Amino acid sequence: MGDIWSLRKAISAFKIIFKMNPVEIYSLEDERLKYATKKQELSEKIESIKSFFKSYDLEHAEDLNSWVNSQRKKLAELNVEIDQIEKTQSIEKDKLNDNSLLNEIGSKESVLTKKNEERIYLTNLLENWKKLLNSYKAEREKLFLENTSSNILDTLVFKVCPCCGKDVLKVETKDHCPICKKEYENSGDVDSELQKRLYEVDLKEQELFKLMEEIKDKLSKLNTDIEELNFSVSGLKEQITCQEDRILTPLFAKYRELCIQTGKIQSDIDTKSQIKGMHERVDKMYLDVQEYNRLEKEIESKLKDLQKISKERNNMVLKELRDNFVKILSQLEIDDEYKQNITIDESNFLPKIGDRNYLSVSSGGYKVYFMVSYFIALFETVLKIDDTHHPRLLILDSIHKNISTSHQEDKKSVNILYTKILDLHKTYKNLHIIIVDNELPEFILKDYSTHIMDVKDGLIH
Amino acid sequence: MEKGLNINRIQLRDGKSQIIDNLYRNGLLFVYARTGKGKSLLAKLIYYGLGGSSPPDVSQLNQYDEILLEVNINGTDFVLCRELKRPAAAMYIQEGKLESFRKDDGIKLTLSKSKDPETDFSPHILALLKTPAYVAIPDTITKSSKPSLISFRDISVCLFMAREK
Repeated sequence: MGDIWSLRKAISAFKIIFKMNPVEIYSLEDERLKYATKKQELSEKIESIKSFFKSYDLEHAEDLNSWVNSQRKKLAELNVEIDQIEKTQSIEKDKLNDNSLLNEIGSKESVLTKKNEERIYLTNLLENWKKLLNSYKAEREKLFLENTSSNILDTLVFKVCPCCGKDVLKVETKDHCPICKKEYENSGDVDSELQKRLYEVDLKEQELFKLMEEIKDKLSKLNTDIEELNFSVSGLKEQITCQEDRILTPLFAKYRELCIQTGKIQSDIDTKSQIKGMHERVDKMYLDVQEYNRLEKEIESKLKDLQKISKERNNMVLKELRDNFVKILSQLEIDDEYKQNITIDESNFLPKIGDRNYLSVSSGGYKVYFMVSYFIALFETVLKIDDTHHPRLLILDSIHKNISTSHQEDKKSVNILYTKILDLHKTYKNLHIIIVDNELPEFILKDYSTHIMDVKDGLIH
Repeated sequence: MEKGLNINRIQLRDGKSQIIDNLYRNGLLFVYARTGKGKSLLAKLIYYGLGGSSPPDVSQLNQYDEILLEVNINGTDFVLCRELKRPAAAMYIQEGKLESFRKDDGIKLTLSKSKDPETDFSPHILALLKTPAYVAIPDTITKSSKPSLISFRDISVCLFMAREK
């Protein structure tokens, strides 16, 4: 046909036809390779982690376990101690809160508050009275100025109080000093209204002044009391602080120290636990490696079985092919020299005679015998084995090429080949053999006329 | 189910049509004529119709555009249609006989010029023959197997004894 087939494709096709190339083998090979690769990757990972352990002197997970356990025990003990301290702190705080000093402070602060309120009240009152006093003074001055024209000054009689020594306006014959309240004698009369009013204002002013003095005294006493109370409360508070410092501060310091200690231990445990986790992962990795190894071995075993079956079948096919080929050659009475040295080349499934390709030997006529015999043998092998992918179609073009039927031996050989083809057709069903030739054996022309297409007028019109 | 591939009829067509029929003859056909009558052309046409890379180079075929091959694959009739002048053009396959074949109803198998013309066609026939179109070929570099497409032409290495060989 003039087509050049690549050897690889031809071999693959042959393998496909005879089911000699089970795809399962390659699928299993792929699977095996997958597990082998995974195993390799995991082993490398394990090595890398192990070198890390080695660098930190943490090669043995058991040592790490006992260390972590001891630290956990220690941590538990410290936590108990911390709980104890917390309880003690709580009790001591309660005690301090329940102290009589606090009660005393409370009662004194309450008195202090009241006194402060009183001081504020009195201060405000004093301020108001000052304003009132000023208003009396202003009125008195005003009255005094208004009466200048009537020479009130001349009519007014002032007398020095014999008791307090102050000038007192005389309005009556007998009067009392508005300041010291003692009776003294007037030196003259006051008859004008103005004078009377002046006297009244003066009187009120003097009374107010006296009241203000009293309040000032009270305020002064109050201030002294407040100051004393403040001092007393401060003293009591200081006493409490001293108690707290004495009892709670050392407890708190101890508490803090324990907390720091437990934090450090916990942090160490966490770190080491992580490393322990890595150990566990490595252990799991070892298990995975073992599993991959098991799967790989399982596949290898399956492969081995499959390869053995495949090899047996391949050998059977090749042997069948060779036997059929040699059988036909024997019928053709081909020289034993050739027949004995015939093998089927496993690389291309073609016959070999010794080391040589079967087509490279002998004459053109022999080549035709070899070729036709080989294709008939191939077809017979396919039909015998039956379970193949061959389409049970055979087309042979020009069997008579390079063979002269004028020689009886050649004629006999060609007849043998045609008989072989007829035998196959009789023995096996559902096949199609097409023989194209410029000559046909007489027995074919005679007995198989219905199978002959005579194209003496040409095939294409 | 009957297993195998039988050739029933060949039709060459363009404006006119020629049918070469009665090719099965109960599974045995002798095509007989003197040299130069075109008997080898029959084998070549069958080969091309089944997916061979190039049509027979003979002047008698110039008048025809298409070759239709009526085949029986595992008990079912199919018609395979292929252009004679453009091997890389689309090919068609349809279940049934020549008489019922309509190109438009067939399964079109487009071929790309960059590909081997039979690349798309052969797997279809091989699938009908229940033959795997792919075979795992070991890759010596990656040590893995990769699937490779097997064509009907590859299979035909075991079917055809060509005169030239």
